[in-house]
Amino acid sequence: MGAYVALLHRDLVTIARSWVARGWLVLSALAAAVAVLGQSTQGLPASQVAAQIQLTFLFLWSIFVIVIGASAVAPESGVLADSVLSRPVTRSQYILAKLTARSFAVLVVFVSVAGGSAYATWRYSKLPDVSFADVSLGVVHVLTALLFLVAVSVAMSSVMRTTFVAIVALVLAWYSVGALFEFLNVSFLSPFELRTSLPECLRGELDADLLWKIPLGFGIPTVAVWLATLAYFNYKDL
Amino acid sequence: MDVIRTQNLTKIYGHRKIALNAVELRVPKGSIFGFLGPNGAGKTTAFRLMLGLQRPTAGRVEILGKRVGPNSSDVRRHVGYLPTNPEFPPDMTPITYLDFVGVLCGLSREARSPRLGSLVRAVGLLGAQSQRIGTFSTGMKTRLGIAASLMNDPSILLWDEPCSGLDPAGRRHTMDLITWLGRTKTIVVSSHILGDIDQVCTHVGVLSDGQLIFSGTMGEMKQRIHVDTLVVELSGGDGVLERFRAASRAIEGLDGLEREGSRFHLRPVPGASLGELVAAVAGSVREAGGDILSLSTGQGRMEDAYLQMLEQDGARGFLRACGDAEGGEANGCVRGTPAS
Repeated sequence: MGAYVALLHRDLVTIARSWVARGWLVLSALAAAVAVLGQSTQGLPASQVAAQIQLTFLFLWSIFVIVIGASAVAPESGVLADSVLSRPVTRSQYILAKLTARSFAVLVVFVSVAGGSAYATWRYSKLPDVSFADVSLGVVHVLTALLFLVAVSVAMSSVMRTTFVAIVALVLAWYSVGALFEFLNVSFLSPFELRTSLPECLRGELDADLLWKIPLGFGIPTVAVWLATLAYFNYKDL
Repeated sequence: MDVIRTQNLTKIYGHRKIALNAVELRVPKGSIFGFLGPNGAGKTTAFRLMLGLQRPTAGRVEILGKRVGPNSSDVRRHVGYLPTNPEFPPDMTPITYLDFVGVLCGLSREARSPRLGSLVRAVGLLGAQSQRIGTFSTGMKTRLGIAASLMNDPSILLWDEPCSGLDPAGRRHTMDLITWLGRTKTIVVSSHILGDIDQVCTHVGVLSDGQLIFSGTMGEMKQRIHVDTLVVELSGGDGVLERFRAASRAIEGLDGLEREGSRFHLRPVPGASLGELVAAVAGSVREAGGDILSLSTGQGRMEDAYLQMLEQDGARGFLRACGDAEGGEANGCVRGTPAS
């Protein structure tokens, strides 16, 4: 447990010091602030503005999520064997610490920006058509999709030796996944489907079955990716 | 008692390269075991398998009686590893890195702080304690690696090329450190520099193309030289040297000699007494009117033994392959008399 906590702390410090994470936080907060300020002049409903802000995390800021996830293991490949895994540390502790730290970093940035902007939207909107429960539900929907993306990115990072290749592959996969899910007739699993479901969710008008289908649809694959990454990393030669 | 034991240890990379082939290694407790072999012989692969960083294609590694695998953190708690040209997190300083290693090893803060302080001082990194590791030279990284491997005060040390990148003073210091640590720990140290191994090791294993071709004590290794030589360097001019050459023909027990400037390489008859030969040579030198500047025996020279083994191993390739099924000696590993 001590080794896991040490690895987790070390990775969180690394993320906090990285310009990617800092840049993402600043840019997404600025973009959210601009959107919130713009709503008052345009007179948009709060649900629409909050949905727009949250959806940018899926379609624009997802690049940062991919970079944070994909830079978890591959850039450390030399350091990993020499400095970390030759010590009294299990592979499971290492990869779990990476998955947890990267997921936590994404959660912190997203929840703080999306949560803060949702409150500001509701507070200053001329049409405050959102409730705390609906905003929370929307945040959970988008967050599960982002956590799935982090898990896949860390998994790719443990498989591939080159971070850049992992990032390119993930970006291509992320933006083409909608078509695949459409083809497989499970479009509710597609992040693109959230474009229509999220505003409905924030207004409290989402179909009851989608309320649990969306988080489970991303949550179960996330758990599966964590387990697969764990199994693969335990098997891998360093 | 053997603290490290491998059975039929084999590693094949991607069905393309045989890095280790059926290695049967025994490292006795309290020994300083030198792992010798040319570059690419499989020394680093053997270390990585011993630590569970890689999985063997066949066979197994046991340390302190426990099988080693990727999640053998309990075994690694007793092992300190120094890789060749180690890589460290570049953004950390020696202090933050050693503290991190201490935490990974489960040391309390009270135990970590004084230990890392004394280690930073011991490896001569006090002046660079707050410097980022990314700015370190190869030698400094090696010294930090030595400190890191000692952080948890392990009973076994696996040091892969510990003198790599060190200046002569650092090299000397490291050799002395190995001798000192060898009083209380079992140390496996790899090198392709024979002098280092000769200087500090009690036992030696020779790897060639992934095969362990010898394993035994240093004495057993040196005894494997078949032709002993006596090298004598004389003072005096050409006349003295030629008179000595003539006089030496009468020396009993001398099979032949070769002159190389003022130095003579004398080949004793197998089984001849070296003491009597030295006395006779001294008499002949006196007779020739010269004096002895230096006298040394070629017997037991590590370099000769090592090169001879590699040559023999190369020559016996096919026989070894044929004998693989019979294992042991036929498999290529010549074991000295049991070391412990």
